[in-house]
Amino acid sequence: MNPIQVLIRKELKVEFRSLQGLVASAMLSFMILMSLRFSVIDSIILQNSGILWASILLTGLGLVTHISTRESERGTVDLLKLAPITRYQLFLGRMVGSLVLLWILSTIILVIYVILFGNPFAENLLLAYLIVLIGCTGLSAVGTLAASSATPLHGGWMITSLFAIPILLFTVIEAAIRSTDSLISGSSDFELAFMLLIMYNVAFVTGGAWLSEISD
Amino acid sequence: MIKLNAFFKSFGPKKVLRSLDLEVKDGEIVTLVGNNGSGKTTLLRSINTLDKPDDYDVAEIDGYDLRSSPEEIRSRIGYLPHNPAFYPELTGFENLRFWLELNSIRDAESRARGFLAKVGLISFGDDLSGNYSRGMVQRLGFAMAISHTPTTLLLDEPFTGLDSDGIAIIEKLLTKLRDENCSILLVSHESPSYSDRTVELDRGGIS
Repeated sequence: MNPIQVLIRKELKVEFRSLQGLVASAMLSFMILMSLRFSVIDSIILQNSGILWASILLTGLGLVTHISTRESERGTVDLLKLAPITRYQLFLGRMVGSLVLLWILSTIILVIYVILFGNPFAENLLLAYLIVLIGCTGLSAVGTLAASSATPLHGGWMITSLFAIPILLFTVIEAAIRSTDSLISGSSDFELAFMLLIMYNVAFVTGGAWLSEISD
Repeated sequence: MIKLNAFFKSFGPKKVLRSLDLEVKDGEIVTLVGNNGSGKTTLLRSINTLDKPDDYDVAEIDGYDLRSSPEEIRSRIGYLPHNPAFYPELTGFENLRFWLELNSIRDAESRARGFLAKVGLISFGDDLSGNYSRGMVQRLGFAMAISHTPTTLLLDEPFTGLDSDGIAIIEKLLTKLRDENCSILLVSHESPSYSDRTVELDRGGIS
């Protein structure tokens, strides 16, 4: 079996046996969406998808950081570094493992969002779901890279957020919000925003793999 | 075979290893002794590529250079840290199989079972490793260190937490590995009788 597949399988098995990260992140996103549902009264904000992406960004990044921090705190990160695999394989294995868990989390968030805020995407809901899944790729790549650099430090959780949120906000998240907003409004911006989202994801995944390799 | 010549490692201003020379031949067990903080663990972590040395003239495992062939080095080294770490959500068997699969070892399942039997853990193989005692963790760590048939073994106080049975099992395996031409560098406070040579790490160098 390919080492990347081995790492993904291990990540899923460890999380599904404990469910610590997924359950906590899903609960947090539910609370974020609930509090925004009852505190935001501006109809323009409610009609657009910014709230959905704010929830995915904050709780998704928390989940990715949790996975990395857990590895560092237990010392199992040394076990991974001792394996005779390249650093980019290690990065991709960890990133895709986190991505699968992020996909599960973002599916839960989208369902909660549709229940609480109605379905603003109407017949484009499946397309919106696809954008959510694609947006998670960039989030997972940046989160994994930032977390693996920051978690050995004190306050690694905070440092990861400080690194990752500004990078993601003006790239992946902005392109994702533009894509889903254009689905809601039916504007012609969709293709451009969607292309940008794909480009950012490709750049972050390849950049993350490359940085992991040269930083060793 | 481990070959180090003029090997340096520091952490910030603190120079831990200073122009260290060390050679462990094939089929040799060398015990490394030294006071706390003398750099024994740092030396093992620098050899196995977990830490990066500052500089060296020669740093080779079986002729492979530490910097230019890190993956080759890692495939040839078996490392038992002072506190072996595992995934507590996985069983002992699953942890070992994961390690073997990462090392692209075929037949990982039967091999994992075989090595669990060798270290006396076969009846606990399907228990979660999070429930293991200190001695069982040490046995699993040793199984992991030798399971991918490394040519070089780096052991950091391998007898910690082991009962007399565990010590006997590991000693027997160590002498068997030596007979199979494995180079073994063992960090310990005392030199065991079967060790071929004892070297002392003092002020960053071998004395």
